[in-house]
Amino acid sequence: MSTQQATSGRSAPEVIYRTSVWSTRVDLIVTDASALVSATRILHDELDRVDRVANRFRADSELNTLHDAARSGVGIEVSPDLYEALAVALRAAALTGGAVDPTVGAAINRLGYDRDFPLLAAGVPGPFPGPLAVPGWRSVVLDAEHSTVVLEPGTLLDLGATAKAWAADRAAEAIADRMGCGVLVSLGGDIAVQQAPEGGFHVGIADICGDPDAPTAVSIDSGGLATSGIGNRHWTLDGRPVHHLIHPGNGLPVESAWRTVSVAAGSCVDANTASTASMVLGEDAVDWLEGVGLPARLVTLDGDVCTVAGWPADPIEPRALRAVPARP
Amino acid sequence: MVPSGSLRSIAVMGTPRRTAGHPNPDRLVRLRRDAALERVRSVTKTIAVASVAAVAVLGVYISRAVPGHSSTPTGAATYPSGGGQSTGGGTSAGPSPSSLSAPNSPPAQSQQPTPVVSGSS
Repeated sequence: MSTQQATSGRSAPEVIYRTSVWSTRVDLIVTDASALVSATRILHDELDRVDRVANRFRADSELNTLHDAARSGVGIEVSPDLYEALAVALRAAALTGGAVDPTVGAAINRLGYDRDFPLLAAGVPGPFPGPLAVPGWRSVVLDAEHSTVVLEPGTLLDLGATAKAWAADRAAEAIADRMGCGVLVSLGGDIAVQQAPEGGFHVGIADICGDPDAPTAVSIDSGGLATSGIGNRHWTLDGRPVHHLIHPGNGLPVESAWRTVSVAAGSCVDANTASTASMVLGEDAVDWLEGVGLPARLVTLDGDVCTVAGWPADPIEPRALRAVPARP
Repeated sequence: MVPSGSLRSIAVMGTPRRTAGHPNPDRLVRLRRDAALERVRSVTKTIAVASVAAVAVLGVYISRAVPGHSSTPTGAATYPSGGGQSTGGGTSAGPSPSSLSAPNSPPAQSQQPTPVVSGSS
């Protein structure tokens, strides 16, 4: 199901298209109403391209073809799209010292997340796995000259930490280039912005994507904004609660100091890389975010808020204006 | 036939020992020389080990102190990185791993309606 609506109270009219992809909410905002239909088509084209190469739940995705072919341990030639998706994932790993690691596929499968997320709602039978470090991102070898990939036999990739944000960046850039208007693309709260109107795009910040009672809001005029947390994508395994953020060191869900981390960056991929890494790093994330100069808002498990590198403090009073509700 | 070397050995072995109360002066000199050499060897070894350790510590310190050096998390060593192969085996891995890009300007607080809410999904 998808909806369209216009926002009000702005100097520049914005039109919203809303739908659902990959078990998550998709929002598209353009500043030119006449561009919405074409922008929607571009968005879905980009999402389809990413889905065909990187969806690990899709039997015919190129990623799963790579997994099958890589059992021999030889280099496999891949499409430019998958090559770029892998390069983006390895860059994220390199820039976070391996905190964001794409080789967590087998680890997250051991936790039962080997199917579309809605199928986990009833819980997964045990046993609960023991700690086992993931193969590590350096075991994935890319050869740009020949567009080949080498995986160690048994390595399964999960590009979830970067592919969604990468898709948001690609879609926003493609729409802005072709339609020449301001664009915001949000894929499950991973937000990419191009050609923002004066005053920027206004975005609520909450534990859960789409929460109409977001406790704070910010405006952004470029790049990306992403939020990682443990508040939404969780299930039970053998009766124990687990979530989707995996610690590469032990292959188990991270036991983070944070409930939610939101980061603003020059792109959505970089924002999501940093927010995911911050969940893994725990308390060390504050110094790390300051060091790399990325504005961020971190919420402890008790709900205390910490802001770094220029992210504005939460308002003392609750926001007077709440999120625009989705039209049924 | 017995080799001549063996006969010399037997002859040496057959030399009577001097009594403990009257040590051979040559033997004392040799012992003192050997002890001194042993001390020198020990001191030299200690200096060599200390030098190597100091160079290693200094190297680590400098690698962290140079401005603009790696800004990876301090906990990086706790994460597996695989078999130590360099990505791409000498060829490019794609996007530059130079740094995470900062926004043109930090977010500003907003009181406007927000049609989009960022949160975990």
